[in-house]
Amino acid sequence: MFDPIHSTQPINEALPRRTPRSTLLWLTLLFVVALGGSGCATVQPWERGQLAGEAMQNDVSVCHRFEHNNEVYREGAVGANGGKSGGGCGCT
Amino acid sequence: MYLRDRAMLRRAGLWLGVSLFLLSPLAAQEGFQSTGDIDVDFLFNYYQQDGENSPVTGGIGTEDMDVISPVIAVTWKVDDQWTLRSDLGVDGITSASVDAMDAEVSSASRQDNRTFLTVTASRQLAKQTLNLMAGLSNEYDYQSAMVGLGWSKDFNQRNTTVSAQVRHFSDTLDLYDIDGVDRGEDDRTTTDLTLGLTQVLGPRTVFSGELYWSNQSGYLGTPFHEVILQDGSRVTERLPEDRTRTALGLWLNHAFTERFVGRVHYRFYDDDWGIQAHTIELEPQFKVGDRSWIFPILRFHSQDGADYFGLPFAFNGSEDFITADRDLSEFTSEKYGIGYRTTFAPGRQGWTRRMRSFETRVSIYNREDGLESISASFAWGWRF
Repeated sequence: MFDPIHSTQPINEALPRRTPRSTLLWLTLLFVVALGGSGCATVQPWERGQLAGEAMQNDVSVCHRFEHNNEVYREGAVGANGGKSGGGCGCT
Repeated sequence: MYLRDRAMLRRAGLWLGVSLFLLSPLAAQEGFQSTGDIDVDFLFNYYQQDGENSPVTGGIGTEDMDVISPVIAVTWKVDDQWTLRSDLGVDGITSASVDAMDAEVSSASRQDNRTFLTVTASRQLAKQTLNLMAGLSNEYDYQSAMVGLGWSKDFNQRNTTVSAQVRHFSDTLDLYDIDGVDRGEDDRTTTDLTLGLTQVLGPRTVFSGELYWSNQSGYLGTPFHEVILQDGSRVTERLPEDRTRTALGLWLNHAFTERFVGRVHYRFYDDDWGIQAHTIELEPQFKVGDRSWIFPILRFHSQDGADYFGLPFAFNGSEDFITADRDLSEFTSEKYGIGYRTTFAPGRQGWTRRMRSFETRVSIYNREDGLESISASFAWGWRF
């Protein structure tokens, strides 16, 4: 069994990948299909009362930006979360 | 601790003064009324972290760091077509690991500051919106400039919105090593593209998707990050000069009742350094009273590590690329917290009549390798 503490091997050479890269292609395909089929639903203006509520908006929490920013620095994965994607550093 | 920093206070005071100076001619205009044209948000964040795997000291050593971030965001709705927005802020960073660097570089006061300004101009054209963005950021060893262009259009009686955004960052780094020696200068460029779709699925349900792609080139490492080799010697981390990232984000918001909205966000991420990641985030909203919401915060993240990451003493030094930065390692992380948001009813008297909203949130983040952090924020919105 791989011992990450005492091994002299780079950790990622010893651990198998959990997800094939093709996952992103499938998800992208799903996104494109969703894009193509997006004209199906039509909600009339008088039915949109709850949709217009602040809690339904993606950017409802103005303070969320700070946590996005912290997560960008502390994780190698960024993008598609409304957070900062590059530039500006602050990378200590 | 930070509030004792006089330079910081002077900077915050200067920004406040500049913002008020910029706003005052508008208020002084003949006929200017409080029509709700200008929103000013005062935001503040305190972030503290600790861990024992700092890449600055080769993956062994404290990651203790504190950051305070005051931001002033001004949104001016000029007319029915134009909206201008500016975000001016500073990150005041105190880092124990960077304090190990030579005093001349960063740690005479144990504090580094990053200042930034982002300006966005938006124009509404019937069912379309155009955004022009520009930004600057400055840190003692890092300067960044950004330009961007965004577009969105509504279709299907505003039940469908598609959007696209492209940004370009041009950064310059001063290459200070761990001993504080200036090794010259290098650059880094980032270009990213985001395609978005928002689709109303029913009177209570909205779906959003975002496809993200970015390419970075140039010096992508951190010059004062070290790696401890098998023989115990220390060398600067080495990373490729190119990186391409792709990500897909999905959001689903559903109003179960007028007082309970479920919100879920999922993201899949992949890059050519070998990192794949899954993130899921839940922030259900519960209405309390007539104008306030309380929301628990839950987030789970899992990622594979980059091909170039290794624990201390893992590399022999002959490898092309090596790093001990745990941010690029395989790990899972959890975040949990709580938030509260309220809006103020119009028609009040006195100095509170311009208050628009208040929000606060606090969260705790735990990473599998022992890194722990807390983030506390508030935002106070005013309308002039």
